[in-house]
Amino acid sequence: MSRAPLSRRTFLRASGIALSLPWLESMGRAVGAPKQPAPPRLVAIGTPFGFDPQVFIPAKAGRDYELSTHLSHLKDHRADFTVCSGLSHPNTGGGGHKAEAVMLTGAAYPDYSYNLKNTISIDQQFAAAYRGQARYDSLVLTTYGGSLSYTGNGVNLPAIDQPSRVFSQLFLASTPQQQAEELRKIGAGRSMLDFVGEQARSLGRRVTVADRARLDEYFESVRDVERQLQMSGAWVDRPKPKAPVAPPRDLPGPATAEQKAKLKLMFDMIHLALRTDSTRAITIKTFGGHHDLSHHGKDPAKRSACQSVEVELLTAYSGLLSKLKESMEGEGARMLDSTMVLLTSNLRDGNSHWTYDLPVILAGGGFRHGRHLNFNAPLLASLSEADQNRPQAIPPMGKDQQPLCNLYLSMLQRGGVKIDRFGSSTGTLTGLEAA
Amino acid sequence: MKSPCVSPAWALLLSLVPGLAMAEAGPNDRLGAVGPFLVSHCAGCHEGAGAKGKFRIDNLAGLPAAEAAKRWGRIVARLEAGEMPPVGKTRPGEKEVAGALATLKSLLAGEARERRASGRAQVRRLNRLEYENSIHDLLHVRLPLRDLLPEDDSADGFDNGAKALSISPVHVQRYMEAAERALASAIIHGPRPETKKLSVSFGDPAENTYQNLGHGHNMPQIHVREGKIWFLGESHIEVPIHSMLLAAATRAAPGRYRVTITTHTDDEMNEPQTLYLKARHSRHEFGYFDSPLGKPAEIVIEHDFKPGDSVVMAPYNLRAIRRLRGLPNPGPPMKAQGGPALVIDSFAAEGPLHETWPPASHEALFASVPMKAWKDMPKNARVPLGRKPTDLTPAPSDASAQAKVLLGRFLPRAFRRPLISADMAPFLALVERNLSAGESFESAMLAAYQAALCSPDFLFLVENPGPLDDHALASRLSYFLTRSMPDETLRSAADAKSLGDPAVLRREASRLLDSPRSLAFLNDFLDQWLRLRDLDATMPDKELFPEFYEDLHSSKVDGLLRSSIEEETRLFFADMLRNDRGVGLIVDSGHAFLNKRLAEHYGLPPVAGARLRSVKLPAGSDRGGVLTHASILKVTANGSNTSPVTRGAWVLESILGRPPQPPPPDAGGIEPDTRGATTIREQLAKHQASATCANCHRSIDPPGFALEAFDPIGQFRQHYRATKIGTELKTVFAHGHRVKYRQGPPVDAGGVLPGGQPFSGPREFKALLALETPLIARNLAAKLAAFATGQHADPGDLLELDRVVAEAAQKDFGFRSLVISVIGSDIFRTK
Repeated sequence: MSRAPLSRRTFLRASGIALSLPWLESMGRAVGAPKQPAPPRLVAIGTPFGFDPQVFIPAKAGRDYELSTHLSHLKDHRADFTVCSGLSHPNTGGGGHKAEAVMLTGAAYPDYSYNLKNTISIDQQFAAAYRGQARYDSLVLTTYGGSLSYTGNGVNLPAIDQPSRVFSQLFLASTPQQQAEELRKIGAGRSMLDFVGEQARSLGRRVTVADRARLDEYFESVRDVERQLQMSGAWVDRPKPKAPVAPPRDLPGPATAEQKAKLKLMFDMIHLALRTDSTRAITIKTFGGHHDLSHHGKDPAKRSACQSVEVELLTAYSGLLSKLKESMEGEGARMLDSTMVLLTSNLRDGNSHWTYDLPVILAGGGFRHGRHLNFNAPLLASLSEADQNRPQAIPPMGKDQQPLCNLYLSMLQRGGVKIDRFGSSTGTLTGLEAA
Repeated sequence: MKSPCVSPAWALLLSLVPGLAMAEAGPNDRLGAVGPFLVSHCAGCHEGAGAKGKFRIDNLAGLPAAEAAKRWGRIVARLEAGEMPPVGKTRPGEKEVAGALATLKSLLAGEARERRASGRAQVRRLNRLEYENSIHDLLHVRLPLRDLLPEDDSADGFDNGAKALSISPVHVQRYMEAAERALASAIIHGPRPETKKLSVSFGDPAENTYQNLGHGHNMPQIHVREGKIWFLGESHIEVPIHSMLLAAATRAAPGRYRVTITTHTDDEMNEPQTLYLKARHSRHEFGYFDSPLGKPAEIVIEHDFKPGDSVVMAPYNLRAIRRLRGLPNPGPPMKAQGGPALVIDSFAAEGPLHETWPPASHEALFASVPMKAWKDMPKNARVPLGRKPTDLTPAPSDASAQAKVLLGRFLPRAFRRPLISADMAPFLALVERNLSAGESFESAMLAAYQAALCSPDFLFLVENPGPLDDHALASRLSYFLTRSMPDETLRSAADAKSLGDPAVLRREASRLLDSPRSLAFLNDFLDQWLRLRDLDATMPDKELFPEFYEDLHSSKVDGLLRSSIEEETRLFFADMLRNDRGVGLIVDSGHAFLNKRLAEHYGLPPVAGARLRSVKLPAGSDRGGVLTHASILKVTANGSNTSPVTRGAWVLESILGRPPQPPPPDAGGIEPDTRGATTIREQLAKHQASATCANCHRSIDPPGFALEAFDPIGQFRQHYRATKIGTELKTVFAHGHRVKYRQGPPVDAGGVLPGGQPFSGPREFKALLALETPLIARNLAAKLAAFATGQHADPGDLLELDRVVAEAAQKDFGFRSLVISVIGSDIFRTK
């Protein structure tokens, strides 16, 4: 990599932090330098109530599978996504809705009253590998409620729920006076953290060994924020990209309503964030307000109403894929080819509340797509059974099944993260290959 | 991993089992008869690789100490429950079991003490609620802060459990931000704002705008006569009726206002109505108020109004009442005629209110420091962004001396302990550093205060091993009973080193329980123990349970019902706590807290008014006790159906403290089906045909079977409601809504307890459960201890918990006595 354009960031180099230039900027500046490939990116979309497996999971596995009713809403992208069935997070059998917390982490959640010790989510693991390379290490979004992102010690990261706030983070330029104030605040913050870190260290000396671990955790967190402030100091006077569109207007009204419009706004923000290389890792929790519908009790009217809410999300997902295909980076390279876009849930579907056989679609990111990978053959058989009224037992995690974390590990490795285990992974996902 | 055999008590306990050699060799003084007891009653089945239930007692020595203790806890629990040895085997006599249990518990207590040499509880940070409350009390501000912080995880059902309170960089960032915002909201920059009085006539053109009374949709049903509002119907959903003049006042001068509203009902049928009040923007709910016939009632509310916020007024359920009386629903252009009217007779407001000036929040940071305008400050002082030259700032004559005085007062309060010699110097140095860098006194002090609020001494509850010192004890007591830092009185008691005296500790506990601050304890505890905070996790199905809605079309929930459901449980426990009523009331009670809506919901004789009050239940009623509260019945169901398994497991775990073992990963499940062809019991019966399942479900299901008599929103039912199959009920109304559901199969609420006692429904089940009052009291004591110490009770605490319960038994298991006994226990008074 050509280092020349970096020279103005000397103080950062002096501080020992590897801060590479944002990819877009270096593309523009380092004229004549060899073309860099587009950086890998990750988008994880999680929905809490699953998809009705009857209309979601294709009947046949393999390359020449026929699109299911739900997947027909993605037919334009058939060659660009893989649908997986029969993947599960092992040992989450009793978690139900609470297992939402482990959707992107794969930590164990065997029953409702279990003391969850959550682990890092896939987006944060990914973001950690590219710290400081974009203005924001990650974007954590939601259309309603908390986020799906967790730190290494299992803390839930707060999410942004207003598209307008994402927009202003991405594009709103600050005046020189505001910039100066921001830098001053960063300086003051750092000196305060120095101070507080010292306090933690001295208190740590006065407590028992058992208690010291917690104070160490605090001390490390303080140090980490100090590093973050140092890095964001480097971004303060770097101009934000020009906004290519007008700022969005947040939707008022009940938080759970208007999923369709809300999804569109947020997915547009995701596309803009990626296009401007403002971040490399994004999670979003979508919420359709159809919790009650999802407990349809097999009532046909409610079931079909529930399915149409599910379709809203699939349509929005399709829209995002289209935009990522249209955005080109360099010669013939579509942005989708460097962007992994995952769609999954913590439940198979709302009515059963089962945390097994989760719905999974992975698009883009330079994998060889266009297939239905099945990891639980009896599942396909049970869905094609004629008598769907027969009460079904939860299919156990069969021996052919693989943890969903195997897919996550494949994604992380594909994204250049040097790691050989993630969550409950037992290896990379069988059958998923790089293009 | 530590060797499990480090402690002598442990060695003793473990030596009972491997090969059972020592026990067989002959009784030991400390063991009593436990060794031979285990050999003759347990080892037969629970030894070796083929042990029954995959539970071995001969390999406990190889396990880590904490895991072994957990297994011993299970042995104790099964013995206590009389479940082991099982029916059909030779069973030891009651005395023999009691003796074995006593010995086991004291051995487990000894083991726990030695294993937890650095204290039973771990150091923990404040959780979000404790953080916000502490800042509010320390700075005398009311700014909401908890939503700035990441959500806390729970350990053993409580979100103040030390194990779950991880700390991450995002916490540190948010602590910095929250402290900055709280400090900024605490200080003043000018003279006392004028407190203005406002008396509203709704005939005022300012109120009669298109956004309010003058809206086309509102005019037909909301009439203004002689400056008063007459509600004959509801306002447009997007154009709620509020006071535009109050909005203008709070826009000009936000802050605390006192609003006084008078209201009465005008109705030829003499049915008094209900007024609903909420803040327009912050959506804070003031609640439901009675609007009497005849002489108007006065309602007084106080609230911190954000700029432009106002009070929304709405009649409750007027549309349904008109519908039931056969009156037409008005709408443009048809004006409402006749029918009940809810009248707003007067509307007055006063604010912004300031008890003192400078306010207590400013005094907490800059007490008695003279104020100067920025323009009169030395030229080189940096003026913070956004300040006007005429704004005031603290300007002491001797900054360093003043800093020392202010910090000397602030830090011990923030850290909840007296300062040690090394505490002060770094803070003073921080102030000096900022002053010499050109910062003003105000900025330099705020930086030091912010550092204090981000320092571990504020954020963590630090305790030393052994008996707690006075200040740690004061903090534990205060965070337990008020969910916040110690107040002045408690701090003085700690300063005087008198909390070690059990009588003083009891007196302080009583004082806090008597103060309204203890509501913070009760509400938070119930939110978590009884999961009241999950009340809105599911919304009832509109077709099956229309009663839950005020308006089906807009999905507007019946707010009076929803708030009454929650309030009933809170008032029930508040009454138990205040009047030391026995915890047996949890299972059954002759009274309930009801208002007109809840009495209707429960199918009980009418109660007047929106305020919940204690009402004697009719003899033979199925209601009574927390298990029949709609709140509990709702959180243990989903929006459309109930599961005996979920409710049964909840009773075992939350009420009896005997959580069932988690289901094996390959346990089957049932897909809910509300079409009406089958009942949940029929589906369960199929599913539980296998003996392995039946083993646990014999205990889990019966309480759930009894509660099948109540639907997901807590109404009594004799039939399930179905969507497809069943009898049509076309002409029936449910709380003013035409019924669309069908009458499904009948409910069977009978069952048999694992001990063989049959019951036919909730009433008989409750009578059987009431026999377990000591167990219920111990479970509650264990939950209280967990909530108070941040560390759940484990088998090593059983001995002390039994003592606590025995003490409370002398006061008929009074709830208040139980809380005070927990506070007096070793569990509470040692780290």
